[in-house]
Amino acid sequence: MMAQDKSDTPAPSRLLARVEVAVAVLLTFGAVAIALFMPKLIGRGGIETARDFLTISPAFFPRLAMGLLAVICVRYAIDAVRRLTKSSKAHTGEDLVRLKRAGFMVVVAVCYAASISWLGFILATMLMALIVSYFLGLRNPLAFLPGVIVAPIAIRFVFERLLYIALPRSEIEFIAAIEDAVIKFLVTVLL
Amino acid sequence: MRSFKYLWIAALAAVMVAPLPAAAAEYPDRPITLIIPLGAGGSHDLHARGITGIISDIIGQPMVVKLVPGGSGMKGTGAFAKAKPDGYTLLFTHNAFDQLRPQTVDVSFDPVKDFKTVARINFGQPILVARADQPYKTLEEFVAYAKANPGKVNMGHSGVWGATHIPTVQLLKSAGIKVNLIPHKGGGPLLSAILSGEDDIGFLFSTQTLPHFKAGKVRVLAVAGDTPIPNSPEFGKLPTMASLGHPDVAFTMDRIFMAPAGMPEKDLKMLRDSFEKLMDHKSFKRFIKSIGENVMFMRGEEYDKLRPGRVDAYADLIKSVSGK
Amino acid sequence: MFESFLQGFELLLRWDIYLYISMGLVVGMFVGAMPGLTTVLAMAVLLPVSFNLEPMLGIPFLIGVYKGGIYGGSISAILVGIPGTGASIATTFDGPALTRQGKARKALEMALYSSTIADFLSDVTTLFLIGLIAIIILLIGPPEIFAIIIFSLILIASVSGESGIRGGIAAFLGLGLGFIGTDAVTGATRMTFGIEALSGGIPLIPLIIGVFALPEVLEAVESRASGFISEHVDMSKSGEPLRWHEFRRSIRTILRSTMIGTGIGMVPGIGQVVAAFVGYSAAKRASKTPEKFGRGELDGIAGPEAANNAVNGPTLVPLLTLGIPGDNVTAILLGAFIAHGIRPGPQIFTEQGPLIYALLLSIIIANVLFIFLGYVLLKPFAKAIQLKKAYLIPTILALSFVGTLSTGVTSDLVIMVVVGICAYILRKLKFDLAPLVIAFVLAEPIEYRLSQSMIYARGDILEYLFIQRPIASVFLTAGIIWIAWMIFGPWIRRRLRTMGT
Repeated sequence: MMAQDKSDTPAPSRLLARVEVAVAVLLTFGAVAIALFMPKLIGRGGIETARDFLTISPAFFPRLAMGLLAVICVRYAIDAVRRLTKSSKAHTGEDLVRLKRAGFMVVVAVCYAASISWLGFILATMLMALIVSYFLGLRNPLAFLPGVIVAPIAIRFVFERLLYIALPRSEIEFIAAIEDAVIKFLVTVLL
Repeated sequence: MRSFKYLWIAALAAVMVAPLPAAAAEYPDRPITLIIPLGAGGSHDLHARGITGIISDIIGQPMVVKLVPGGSGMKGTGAFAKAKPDGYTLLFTHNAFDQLRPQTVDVSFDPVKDFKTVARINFGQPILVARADQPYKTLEEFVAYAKANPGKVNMGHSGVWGATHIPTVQLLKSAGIKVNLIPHKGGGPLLSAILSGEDDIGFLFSTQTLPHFKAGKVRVLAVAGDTPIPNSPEFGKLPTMASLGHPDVAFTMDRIFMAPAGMPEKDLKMLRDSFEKLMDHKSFKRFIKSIGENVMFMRGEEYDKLRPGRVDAYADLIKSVSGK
Repeated sequence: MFESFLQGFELLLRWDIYLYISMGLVVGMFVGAMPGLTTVLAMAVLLPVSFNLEPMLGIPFLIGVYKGGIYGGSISAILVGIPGTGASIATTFDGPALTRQGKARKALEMALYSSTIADFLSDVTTLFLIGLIAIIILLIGPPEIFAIIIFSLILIASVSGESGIRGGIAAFLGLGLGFIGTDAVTGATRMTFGIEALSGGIPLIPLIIGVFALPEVLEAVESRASGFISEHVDMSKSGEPLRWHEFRRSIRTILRSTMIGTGIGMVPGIGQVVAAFVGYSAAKRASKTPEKFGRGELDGIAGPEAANNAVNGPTLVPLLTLGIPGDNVTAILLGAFIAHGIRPGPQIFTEQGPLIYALLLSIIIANVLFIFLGYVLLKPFAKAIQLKKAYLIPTILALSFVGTLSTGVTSDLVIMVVVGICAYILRKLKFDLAPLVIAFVLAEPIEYRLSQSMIYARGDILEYLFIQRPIASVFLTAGIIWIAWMIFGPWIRRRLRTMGT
């Protein structure tokens, strides 16, 4: 990974080159803004005693890091623009398809994260696994449904009752009651 | 697809029994999560590992520890405050996080209003510890030395508003002395700084100090608060800060179990009773003894009466330290 | 002393100790191999188990969990490119590349041998030099730690030079992320933008999962082709075992990394992550074929794996001789000691010498046991990942979430997902994100140790660092000379050559 990073790679597709410019500009402005307004980002709670000999304020190091980041980012942004002018349209279509697939997974991950405390771990994981399996091309329900149903229950059971690690329970009482009943059933059967 | 068939049976059975326990459930009918706003391996974690193993016998359900360190305890406390107040999420914390730290930063909760104490298990008493080569042997001598040499003594503490920072600033205020205060990340680094000669003096807890005191590497000057350390042949005779004329140096680290104020009164009483029963439990007594601590139990109702007063006292301390 | 050493030996003459160590090793290996489930968590959860055992069983059991867990972290790093713990981040540089080449088995064996050998050597060193190490540890204070971190960073940066601008951006981003949260010196919150969940900063586990696991999932989904359903992860043949001549080539690397790791282990609070990076960098610098690093070089496995395990020995020293734990793992071990009535401290060898020697010996034996156990267990592990991708991806996603939840709260999931999306975009733009993680890990110690040094210095920090603290001065001066050589070296060499001709 470290070594693949040379700039003599073939010209990027226009799509990625555009993304690169956008990221570079965003990073530059973000870094400059944070470096400039750093003192405003220091919250309440700091104490002044023991600071007689301490000449660096809490704002100093973040400012230094962000300032240097901004400087490198400017250079990166210039490179990125140069790469954009050299970019070809050749792979844009393919890249777009790839990014769309990844984008779909991003949506799935975000929904999973958002729903996990609402639907509870078991149901949210079942839905996630179902959608992902279908998306990845599994069509025969007998092939993936057992795993989709058993795995989340098994994980929650093992974590909660054997490892003593709590996983989220649904906020909806009806679902939560079913979850509890299933886990209790497993406890009576297995423990 | 044999497993598949069993699965359906299991699911069916689950659906059939599901509505039953939900209707007539007695608290607690599932595991209780215990949030600790501190990291793995500390004294709270150790206490909790022992207690959760034993209390499940009394309340009939497992208690599951969840460590949420960070932000001087405010991250874990915040997570506890956000959880549903149904009594299935409890907090194991100490009084600096409960009564002091929330005043110094912007938080979304008010511990006094939002939380209720279940029980105080015991408290850790900070001891003023100096390296053995220091020119002072008693608290009076230290105060006199620090007055004669303002800012010369390197005094360490375990982090801003941590359990040994508070008695430190209480002492500085009460004695009117000025020292060079060194922040550390926890008591361990502070102890090693004292041993290696970088820091001269600082507050530590007795379990950490004991082996080094026995080896003659450190000297102990006084214990914070007004109670001598119980059941300790080495530190039992140590003078208290109150008896030496510093009653304001009163900070002790109370290990407290908290419940949300919104949980049903009946369930809270059940928890409080369970913890009182825990104190008489044989394995609990053995556990506390083996880790070198004492039981200094206080029921939640009584501890709740102390909290508002403490909050006000800390507010004055914060004002005098941060100048705001 | 020798007498209690022999008595300690006698305590080991029972078979059930080895049974418990083996159980710990296996449990640790399983937990460590799951992305996000940390060794620390496994040890904390299993601590009460050790309460109920006698000390000679409970503590070796926990140590087994610890050692197994660290190796488990390397398994997922090599097979799927997701480090199980921070310590195995550097293993992802070459591990997945080897897996793609069908050399997964070689990589796993190399990791096993290098880590157990390094651990063994470092433990033996610790056992015999415990007094000396204890003295060194007390000599290393905040200014020395600051100097050593700076020196390590210079070393790491000097060999990852070709990451160039992108590497620099990643590093400074990591620094910036590391400063989010509560400032340890003054207690002020900063860069939290009013979000309470950020008051504790970004926790390491969600960050690692976000940086490594999520992009891995997204990239795998990207190439969804028509044959995807039946496509197995290229593990169907985990490849040939490691050959002796391949291993022999890495012996020098293992020994070098062992020394590096043992040295870094004496510095409190830096630990395995840094050791692994420095071990990798040193291996790359010394290699005759540095261009192969990062593309599947077995030496690139041996370097970090030996270094991060060699840390284990010296970290036990402050725990045993001072009763001060240097990190979470030793803190949990301290808890186990205390609960068994063993009070580590200066007099522990006179008070409980035989027991302590027996425990130290059992740690050494655990390494020997692990070579055999690990070898036997490698195959089932490789098999377990022989899943269809369509199963593997939801599994990894679910485990990432479980891992984050088990060490944190639901707000950490948000952090993980946000970090993951950003990391994916950066990876698409050919960013190498390892500098981000190492900078993130070191951001706080750098600032914190410098601040402490300034308070000790009472004003003149340069005089303090360079004159009053000789050890710090050596490391800082060496770092400065190194940088100067990196910048002016080629120029000087050219001048010398032209002068010669």
